[in-house]
Amino acid sequence: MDRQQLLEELERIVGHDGIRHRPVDLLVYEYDGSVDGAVDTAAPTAVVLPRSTDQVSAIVKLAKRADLPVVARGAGTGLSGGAVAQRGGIIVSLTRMDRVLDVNLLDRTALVEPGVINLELSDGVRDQGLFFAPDPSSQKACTIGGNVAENSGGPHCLKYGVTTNHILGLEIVLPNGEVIWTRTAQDGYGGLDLTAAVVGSEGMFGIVTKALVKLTPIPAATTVMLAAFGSLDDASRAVTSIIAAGNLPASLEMMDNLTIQAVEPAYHAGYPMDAAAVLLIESDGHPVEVAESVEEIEALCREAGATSLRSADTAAERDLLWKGRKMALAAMGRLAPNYYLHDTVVPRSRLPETLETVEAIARHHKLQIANVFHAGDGNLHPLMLFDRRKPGDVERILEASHDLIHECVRVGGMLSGEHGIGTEKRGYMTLVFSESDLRAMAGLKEAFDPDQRFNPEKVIPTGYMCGEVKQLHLQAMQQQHGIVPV
Amino acid sequence: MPMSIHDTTNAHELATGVFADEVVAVESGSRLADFLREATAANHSVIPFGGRRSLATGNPTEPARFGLDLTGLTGILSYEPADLTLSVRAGTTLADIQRALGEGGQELPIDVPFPDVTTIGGLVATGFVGPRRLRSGSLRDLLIGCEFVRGDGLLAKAGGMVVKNVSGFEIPRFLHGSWGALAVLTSVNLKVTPMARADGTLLAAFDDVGLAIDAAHRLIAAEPSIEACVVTSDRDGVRVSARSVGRAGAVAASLDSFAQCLGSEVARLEVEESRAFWRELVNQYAEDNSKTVLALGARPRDIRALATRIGDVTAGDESAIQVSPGFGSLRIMTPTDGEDLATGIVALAAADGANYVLESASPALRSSLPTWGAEPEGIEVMRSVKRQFDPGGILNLGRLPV
Repeated sequence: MDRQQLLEELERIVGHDGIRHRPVDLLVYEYDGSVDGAVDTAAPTAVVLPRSTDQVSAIVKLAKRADLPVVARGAGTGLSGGAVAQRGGIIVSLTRMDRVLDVNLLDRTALVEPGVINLELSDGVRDQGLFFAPDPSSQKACTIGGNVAENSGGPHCLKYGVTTNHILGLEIVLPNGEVIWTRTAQDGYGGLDLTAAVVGSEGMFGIVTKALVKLTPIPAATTVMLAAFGSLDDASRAVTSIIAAGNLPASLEMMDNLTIQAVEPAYHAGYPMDAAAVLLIESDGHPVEVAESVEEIEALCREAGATSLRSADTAAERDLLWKGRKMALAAMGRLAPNYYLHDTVVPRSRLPETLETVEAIARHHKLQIANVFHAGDGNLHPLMLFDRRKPGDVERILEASHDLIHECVRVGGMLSGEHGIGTEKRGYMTLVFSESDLRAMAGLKEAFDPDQRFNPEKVIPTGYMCGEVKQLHLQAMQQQHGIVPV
Repeated sequence: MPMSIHDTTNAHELATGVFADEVVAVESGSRLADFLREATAANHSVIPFGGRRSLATGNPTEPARFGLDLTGLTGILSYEPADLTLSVRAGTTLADIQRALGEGGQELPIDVPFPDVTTIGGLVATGFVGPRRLRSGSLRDLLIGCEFVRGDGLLAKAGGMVVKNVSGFEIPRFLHGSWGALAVLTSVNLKVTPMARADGTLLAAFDDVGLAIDAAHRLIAAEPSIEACVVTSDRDGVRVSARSVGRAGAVAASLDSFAQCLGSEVARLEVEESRAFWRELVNQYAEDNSKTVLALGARPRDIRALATRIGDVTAGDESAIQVSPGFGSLRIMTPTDGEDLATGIVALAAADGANYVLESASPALRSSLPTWGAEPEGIEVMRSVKRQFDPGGILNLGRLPV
């Protein structure tokens, strides 16, 4: 099928205003939120913006006839290259499928289309005493479909879990165009938990066209505490002792001094500028539970050497304390033109030494690294600051990244806590998974998508799908990045 | 080769109606991989089992060449209280796990029938979900990694030992509730939680199941931190049981507000009494081949109508019903001779489009009734996964409709 014929057929499916194919229109779709340089960009043949499941199904069937890859895309805020069409083909942008179709209070569920924006879903049900718990930093822009694809997290997943814990079923379009509803394994369900497989599969198993999501009741009381410390080590010890004492806060976030330097002048959240680190700790639940746990947590922070403590009970005070955290990435522009954000996750008890390692890597590569992260989960977010225009800067952050990932894996960590593998960390998968592990993952992909139609060249390193040659890939990895997989 | 066990008392009948020619035991993942690779090559069917607490649930499996005993695959591989993580071999019982966690002041916040014999691998494979799903979720929510052997003998792992992880596909959660049809678990990694400091339950009496379910829905809506809420109808009458866990002060305050919301309080159970009550409740409705037990899943909004209709059918006999209105789970237990009753309930569930599975039944009833509800959507994908994981089709033949 030639390009012209393809465009005409796509237009017949989605209408004249539902297709983009001029080079200038495609340019923006070459990117997602990841760092240019860590993720290769690639142009799709066309972008379509369907309005219904039937249209998505028709597009997929057409792609099958034309033998073209299909890449699903939400808001494009992803940080691992997941929404970039590595091998070209058709990008299916789901942002026009953005209706909340049903909210049921007894079921505590919402039936939504994939283009619904994360925060808008929570805002829409707040009056009914409910919210959608996963709250990635991008929640003002990112879509539920994207959250499902990446299994997104956020500060509150310490207590509430990540996206997969909040998805009850999905309507998906399979690579042959068939539309099915997946379920979770539960009472009396005589089938496999395809929902579990699809969440976090980075758009490689099916295109989500509807999601049945769980809504969580808003807790009766919420208190946010801000604790400042004179050293990162003191702050880390406070994290450990809070957990060890049997507390499970709703969130437990850490920001280092460099982050405070960027955030405080911009947002005036009230973070002490001279603190080496601050912890933002949220406790929620029954009012009696919250009152007691706040008292206990404050005492533990003091014992760990907190230099100051504040707590906020009203929504306005809480929002201000949170604003600094949620806007931290945006504030980095005050320190450097670019940053490269990592997402490794380590066992919580290895945090103090890992933070020292991050400092050592920064010194070694002569980089500034800011830390703003989910301390309670052990999910680091080192922000490597750089200037793309300076020769050698991109190479330096890639080398530092290589060291960082190896060090985190060495202490029992994993590549990504919530941002996904995509193309960005695909080359590192062999660091944490054996050939057998990757073959098992590839087997699952092949069961859903034997033709590698959906989002090819993501997650699984080349060499594990049928007919590929692993050795070639390893060679290429060594030549391109100096990475020798173990 | 794995050692053969010649169990003189029960060598062939693994559970009611579940047969194997020979029982073998394995004590390591690599042995298990060898065994399954050879079984696939020789086309020998295999029924894996742990504590055999749910071995008869679902379709009757064809008699297998081997019963695969995993109860020797025990022990905690790693437990770091500061990390809130645990890695444990699949044959370890839940009682042993909770004991070890208890020493670190932690627990798995899940319901488990017969924890002294139920193994963690079995619990993952059967996807058992109890009343605590309302707030704490189920084992599915706590799984962070696992090691498994596919039907074809491929030994692999997925996930990790961190509480949050999106590195690679979510195989551990996918194996939850797969009824041993794809792979045999050798170890699982779990997220654990601090042990609740206090535990309390309020029991309230009602005149009928419909009113009790309405009251339960009201209570759940009013109490965001309620841990579990179950409506039971049995020889003790109709009751709502509402549970709170947490700090002592919060639990006491919660029970007061439960009492106010429900009215008609009949008892308050504290700490150990409360824990024992829920253990007993979960055990009572677990697979038990001296009874017929049906598990149904429906939408919470539909559960009242369904439970009321079932109540009408079972009125006046020895049946007992347990409903979790908050997430639409319903279990019905009838005496063994209540076959007509079970047939009637299955017909009601099917007409409502509800999921159901026959957890316990006489072999005769099993062969006369479809044991699972409607065929799931996506059955072709499920079969394709089955072919990838178990190309020889040797694991748990026929148990699931995949």
